[in-house]
Amino acid sequence: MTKTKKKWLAMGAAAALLTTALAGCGDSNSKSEPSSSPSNSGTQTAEASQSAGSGEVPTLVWWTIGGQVPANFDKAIAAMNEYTAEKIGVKIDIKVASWGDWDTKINTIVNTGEPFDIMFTNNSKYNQQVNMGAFADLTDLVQSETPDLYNFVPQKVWDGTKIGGKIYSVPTYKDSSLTQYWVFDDKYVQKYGIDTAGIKTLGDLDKAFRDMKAGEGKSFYPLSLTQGDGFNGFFNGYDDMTLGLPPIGVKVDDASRKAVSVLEQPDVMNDLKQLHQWYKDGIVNPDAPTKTEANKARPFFAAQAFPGAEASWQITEGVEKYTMFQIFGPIYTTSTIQGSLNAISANSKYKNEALKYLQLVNTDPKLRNMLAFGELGVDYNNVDGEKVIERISDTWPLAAYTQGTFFNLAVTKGAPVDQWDQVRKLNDQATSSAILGFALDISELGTEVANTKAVWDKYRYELLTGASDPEKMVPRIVTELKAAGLDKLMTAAQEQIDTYFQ
Amino acid sequence: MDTKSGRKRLRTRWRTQDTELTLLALPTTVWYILFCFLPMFGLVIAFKDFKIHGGFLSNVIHSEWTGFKNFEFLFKSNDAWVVIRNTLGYNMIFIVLGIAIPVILALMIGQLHSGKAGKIYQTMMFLPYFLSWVVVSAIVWSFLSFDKGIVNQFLTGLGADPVNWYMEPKYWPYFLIFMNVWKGLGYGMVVYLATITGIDSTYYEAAVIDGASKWQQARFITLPLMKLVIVMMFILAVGRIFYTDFGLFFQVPRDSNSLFTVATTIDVLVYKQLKTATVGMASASAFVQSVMGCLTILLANWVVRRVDPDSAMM
Amino acid sequence: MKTAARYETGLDKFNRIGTVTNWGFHLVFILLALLCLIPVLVVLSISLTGEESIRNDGYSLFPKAFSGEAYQYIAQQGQMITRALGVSVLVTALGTVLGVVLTTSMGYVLSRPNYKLKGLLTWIVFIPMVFNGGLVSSYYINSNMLGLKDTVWALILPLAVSSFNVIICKTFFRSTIPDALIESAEIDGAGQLRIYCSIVLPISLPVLATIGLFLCFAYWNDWFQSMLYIDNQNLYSLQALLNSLMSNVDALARNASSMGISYAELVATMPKESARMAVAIVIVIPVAIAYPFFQKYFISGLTIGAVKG
Repeated sequence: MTKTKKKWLAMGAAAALLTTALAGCGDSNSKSEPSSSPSNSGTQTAEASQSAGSGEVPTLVWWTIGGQVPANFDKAIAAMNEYTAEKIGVKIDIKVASWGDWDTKINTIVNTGEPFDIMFTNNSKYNQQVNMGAFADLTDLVQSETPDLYNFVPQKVWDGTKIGGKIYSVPTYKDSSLTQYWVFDDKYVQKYGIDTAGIKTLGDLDKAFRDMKAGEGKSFYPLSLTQGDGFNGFFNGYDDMTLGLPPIGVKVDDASRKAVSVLEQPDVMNDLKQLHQWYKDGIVNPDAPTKTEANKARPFFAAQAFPGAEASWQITEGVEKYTMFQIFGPIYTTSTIQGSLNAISANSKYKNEALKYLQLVNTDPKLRNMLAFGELGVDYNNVDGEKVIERISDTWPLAAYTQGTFFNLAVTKGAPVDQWDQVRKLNDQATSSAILGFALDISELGTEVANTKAVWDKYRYELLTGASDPEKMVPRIVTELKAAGLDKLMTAAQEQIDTYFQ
Repeated sequence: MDTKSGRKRLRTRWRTQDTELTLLALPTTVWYILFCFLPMFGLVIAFKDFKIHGGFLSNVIHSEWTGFKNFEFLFKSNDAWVVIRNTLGYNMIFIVLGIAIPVILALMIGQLHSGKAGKIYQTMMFLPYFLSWVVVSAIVWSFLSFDKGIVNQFLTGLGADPVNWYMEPKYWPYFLIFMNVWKGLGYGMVVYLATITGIDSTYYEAAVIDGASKWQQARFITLPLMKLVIVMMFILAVGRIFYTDFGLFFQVPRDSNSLFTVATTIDVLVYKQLKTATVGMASASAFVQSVMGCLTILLANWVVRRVDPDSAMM
Repeated sequence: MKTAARYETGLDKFNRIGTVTNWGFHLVFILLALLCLIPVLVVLSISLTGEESIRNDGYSLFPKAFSGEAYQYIAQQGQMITRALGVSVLVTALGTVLGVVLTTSMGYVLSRPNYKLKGLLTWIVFIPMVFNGGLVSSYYINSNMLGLKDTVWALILPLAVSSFNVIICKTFFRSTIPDALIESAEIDGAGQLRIYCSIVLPISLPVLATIGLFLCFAYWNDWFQSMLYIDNQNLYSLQALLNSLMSNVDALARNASSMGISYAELVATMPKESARMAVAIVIVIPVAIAYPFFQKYFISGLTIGAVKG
């Protein structure tokens, strides 16, 4: 390169730097950056056209979680906006944080005060975000502005979102009560004559597993577990106060609401010993504590679900028939309700509009379907009005459970038509945890929470897959937890519970 | 070369060269101000109870001051010692191997008769750098997975029992060291190769005429002339002795419980502690690591300056 | 360091290592090269294996059941992948040029022994190496103040300069550029910029190539900037895309217990393992092809115009 060219390059670079700096410094909310991508972002055009004088239709920003954004995403959103602009005079701009990035991205957005209107959250972050002051207090607003929404969601479910007695988000009313199912691949049920009606506890599974193992051979594992899941639903009997640390909990039917060390409870200890026995006898796969992805077509698994779910599993797992039976629940706990929440930013300029939009999502079937399935005609087709639909693509990145209720959502072809009614029935039958409505306030307990969780992480995979011997490990774990602040947490929890329920 | 002490005592005049050099360095200085120094106000978050009041700046200004409360969790962890031992231990090995091996290989590769072969080898040795740790973790899984891994398939083929690799801590220090060296091999070689290339060939010609062997040439010409670069790489590496590659120590071992005592470093432990922590605690942890890094690099530089003043960085 | 075809003088030929040593060295390098190549081959193999085969028979170096389904997926997603490739190439090219200019200019200035502000600038370069303002405030500055969010500049600018590179540069300049050369030019009345451009740079090609290479590879490999600053997935770089695909599967698996039935439905829509490995291959191949072009600056000694004595 000649020296003149280099000189110009150097000047050019310096100029570019200074221009960028100057351009940005002036207006902090300027959105006029040239985007170098060949296909222009839908955000820019939507905003440009909106501010070009199409009336006072505000565009709200909704941060949600999802997968890869497909090519027709903007078109689908535009279709939704056309509909909602007409109905309630609000448009939406949906920003998707993908599953893997969600944690870091949402933290950054909330912490730096980046403007948004609606945000999906759940029990892993809700408490902390409310403590930080990120969300608007909706208690009065939701009753005055959107009474339909308020009446549609049962009081119990609203209670689940209360922190310090105030409502900070719109809960997603779906299978909000937890119902645990145990699922067998039917061919094994037939082959070994498994009496599923007689199985009520973990120990009852023993015979079935041993029969299967004896019949299928050495490298067959009846109970195939993974690292993240362990035995799904293991701690269902104990409410974790939304803390997310299983070793502390309150037994769901304990009227005295006592916070206990869960690992040391006799029923939990028994189950842990059972798991360990199975691991030693080859019922559980030896690499369970390090295996991240589950096998397809497992002979047995446990999961939270609702009637009709086996149809969906049969398709996704490629199994001819699954036999599932209810083993626990339905029960409401604060955590189960907080599984999917949509909150409104404390700094949002359009709180009322945001609430109205959420109300529309939860009451209007047409909008609900578009949000859950995508673009009409491209991602799905109506089979029976808005009640039954058929999916024709699998690229829509948004998950229905993160958006709004299931009860105005269409049923997909092939699933039982009254699926959602059955879910509703389950919810109506649901009992409540003894501490429903209570969420532990951890604002003064940061150090203890951080350290106890780190200790739990050290041992949980091997404990919950049966790889480690509970008789040896539990005392050790509890000692370390205590050193990390478990006692302080329990005392604080008990105090808070007593105050809350007096 | 430099008469540093001499220069310090003279108050030299500002020359035109100084103005010109300043202008030459200006764009980069602006970059540093914008991207490194401006964000430093964020360090103050470590000392505050961060709450949202409005925009970010007003959040920082109005949040309550809490002194060192956010730092508590770092020092109250019982695993701190294990984790520090792992970090320092691995890093010391990495520093030594990470300099010795690429230097030796750089010397060797230039000696090959066929330059073309040298090029091919170098390209291949650079490939691991482009596999992100997520991909490497998947590759390691494909080798070490209990039922589907290549190694266990090979073992069962020979009639032996499969090994549950991810739950056997004794092999992992070797695995981790090997993988760190493997991934950085090509990258390290580049720096040293560039240095070697810059050495004037007349030195070698004179040495050959004097009857020096290859080994003597390397010992008395090449290595001494690389000293500056090697020392610099050493000091920089020591400055990062409290930092480890998160991908290597978290993603590759798959967060296995059994491997905790051999594979957890400071970064991994802090990550686990911070999963539900506040932004203040995260800032506090970054602050502490920065301070430690600063101290170690200054210490390393001071030690080097004692031994060989010309090689010191500052 | 001469190539076989360029033994010009008998002296060089005399100074070669012995044949046995040569073969010894070759052996060492072949082993190392294989160690580095085999994992890439495994990735290739997985990308060409059918999902059923992996599930039933496990992984292997050579695909047990060939299947082009991963590359079909790549072709289907062709638009998305081509776009990501374009972003990666653009960011890498622009970033490398910008970075080289900024880094070498600073490195040169710092290497001048009599420069008055040398101490100050050395600290300016040194401090960011150890002190980091933190993710949150950097994000705030870059997004809100500088307005870089959702543009390629967020991918380019923050990575353009690294103090590590500046110090390498400074060390190289100090050890290879003789003061006499500069001083004689100064006496002749040349300005610093002119000296830098017409005297220093031409003889510093190994340094420029080294820094250029480091920057190139840093940009090509980066995914974190995309994840943080880019909301519009059309602007993702290739490595960011792959990272997103792989971490999505991971995150879903970790949260499976709380997602109930949605987990199975969502996982079914994710790209299969072979497809993810195929994307990894797409990332590695351009590098494997492009790298030899840079190499000539390292192995064949390019010492034009070095001052003797």
